[in-house]
Amino acid sequence: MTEVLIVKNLTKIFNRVKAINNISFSVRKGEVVGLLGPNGAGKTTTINILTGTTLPNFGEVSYFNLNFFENKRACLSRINYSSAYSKLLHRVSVGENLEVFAHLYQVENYKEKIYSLAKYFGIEDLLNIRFLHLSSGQKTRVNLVKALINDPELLLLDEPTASLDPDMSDKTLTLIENIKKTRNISLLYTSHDMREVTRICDRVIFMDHGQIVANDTPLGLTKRLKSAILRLTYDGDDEQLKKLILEKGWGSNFPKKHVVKITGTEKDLPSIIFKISNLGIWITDIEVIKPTLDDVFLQIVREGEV
Amino acid sequence: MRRRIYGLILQEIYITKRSLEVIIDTVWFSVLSVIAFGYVAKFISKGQPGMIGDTILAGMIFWEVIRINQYSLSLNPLWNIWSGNFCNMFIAPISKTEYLIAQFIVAFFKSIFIFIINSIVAYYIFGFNILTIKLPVLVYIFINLSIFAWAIGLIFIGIVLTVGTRIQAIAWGALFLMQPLMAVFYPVTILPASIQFVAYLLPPTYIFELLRSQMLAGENIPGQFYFVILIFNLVILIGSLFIYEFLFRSSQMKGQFAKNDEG
Repeated sequence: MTEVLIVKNLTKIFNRVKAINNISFSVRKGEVVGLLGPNGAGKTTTINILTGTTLPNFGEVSYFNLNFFENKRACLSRINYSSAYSKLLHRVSVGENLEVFAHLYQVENYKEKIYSLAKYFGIEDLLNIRFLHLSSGQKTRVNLVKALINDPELLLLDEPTASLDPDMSDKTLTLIENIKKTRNISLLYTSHDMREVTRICDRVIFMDHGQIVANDTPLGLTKRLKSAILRLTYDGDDEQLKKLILEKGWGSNFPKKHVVKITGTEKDLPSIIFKISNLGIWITDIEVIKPTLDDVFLQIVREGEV
Repeated sequence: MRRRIYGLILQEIYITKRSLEVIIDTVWFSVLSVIAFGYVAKFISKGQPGMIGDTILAGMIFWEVIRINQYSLSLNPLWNIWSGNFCNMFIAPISKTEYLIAQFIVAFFKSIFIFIINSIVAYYIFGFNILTIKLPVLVYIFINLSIFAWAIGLIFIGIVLTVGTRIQAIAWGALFLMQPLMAVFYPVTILPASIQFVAYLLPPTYIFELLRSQMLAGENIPGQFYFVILIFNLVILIGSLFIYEFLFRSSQMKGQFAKNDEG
């Protein structure tokens, strides 16, 4: 697959602190890449550099095999950006705001384009409304219309669903999924919400303290966490079970009567069940709780790696 | 290029149309200043040759050319920053040159519009006809004051971009710090000798001196004088472009450029 974005050895230093420390990654055509990490990990700084609003100290960025800093206009005309935090002019109507951007991106037949995109996102009735009168969900959709006005080949989305309620967040994600399907564009997506990332991203880049600590598919990342939780509902002698757990050194807790959660590696789980059964304890229900991206996130935040 | 400049001009038209503050700060404030100074001029002129009052009124009308140009230029980025739209603008494929050309055009036309209104007000209320100044001189003065206002406006924008909106008041207030030095309403010789040196570092000082000498004595100023002032003004504009470029880049290096939109 062709790479639409290549980042090489990017470094950004603010007041002698490395906000981004020598990161390299790429995004391929049609790929959705999630950029994840805790607050201060360097995600927004990375996005700001990729949009040209912040300049790096070192490193290269190229879009479509063009050096970004030497071919800014050519690159910017083929990408776009939307963020929960960026807004359009408050007092100007949605349609007027979009018209301005249509001229800046030199969109042909811009009136039809704005209307068709507005219709696609269900905001055609808002075109004459001033931006400041819109709800958060409506603003997000207007921002997405602005972000698609130039038919970008790569879309940078910085927490597009932040501050949205779960229903609106779900609808927005569905729209983003549809954009991906119908337009085959690449997305670089930052978010704190692991379910979102699992849902839409083909690949995830985890950042922490300005560095990339993991770069894999969501499944690949969760597989790196070897531990899983075994939730057993049982009928039998509690004391015997507790003694066995203590003896074997398994991590455990008893969330309620006759229910135990035991932490172990995935390959140990059958033998745990076997050993408990051997005590004469009748296991009535078994549930294996596999690690999620949330667990990967927590592992990275707390231990710095997976 | 033309299409993008048109888009930027269109944005400024939409902002102006929707913002009562802009209309008050430009038209309203400007006309009131001319009226107030017109009466001051009338009062001062009692028992004096009439032209002295006229120079004060003309000074005010031309001062507004500087103010409106600088105000318009410096306020556009602020409207975008206040809305959180400034980065969006520069994520679009516009160049700094296109952005500035659009702002210069808008500022220039706004100042022409206000100049015409002020001139009409001065004529009907105080009987002062701005066209008593020779038209080429009038155009020359207008263009030179606009160039200087753009130079100052560029530096103010650059400072706001680099430092952030906590010093945004310079966009509409700092120009007034220079007003006493520019000899807008009085000859530069009225200023203390030590300050006159600073006053002569500002091109408008020469322009307002020229305006008064034209109005009071009808002096024919040598052509070289006009040329030198124009060059002086252009040098200041070019210098301010370099300062703007430096501050713009510095804002991007510091990360302040992107932070501005966060308020």
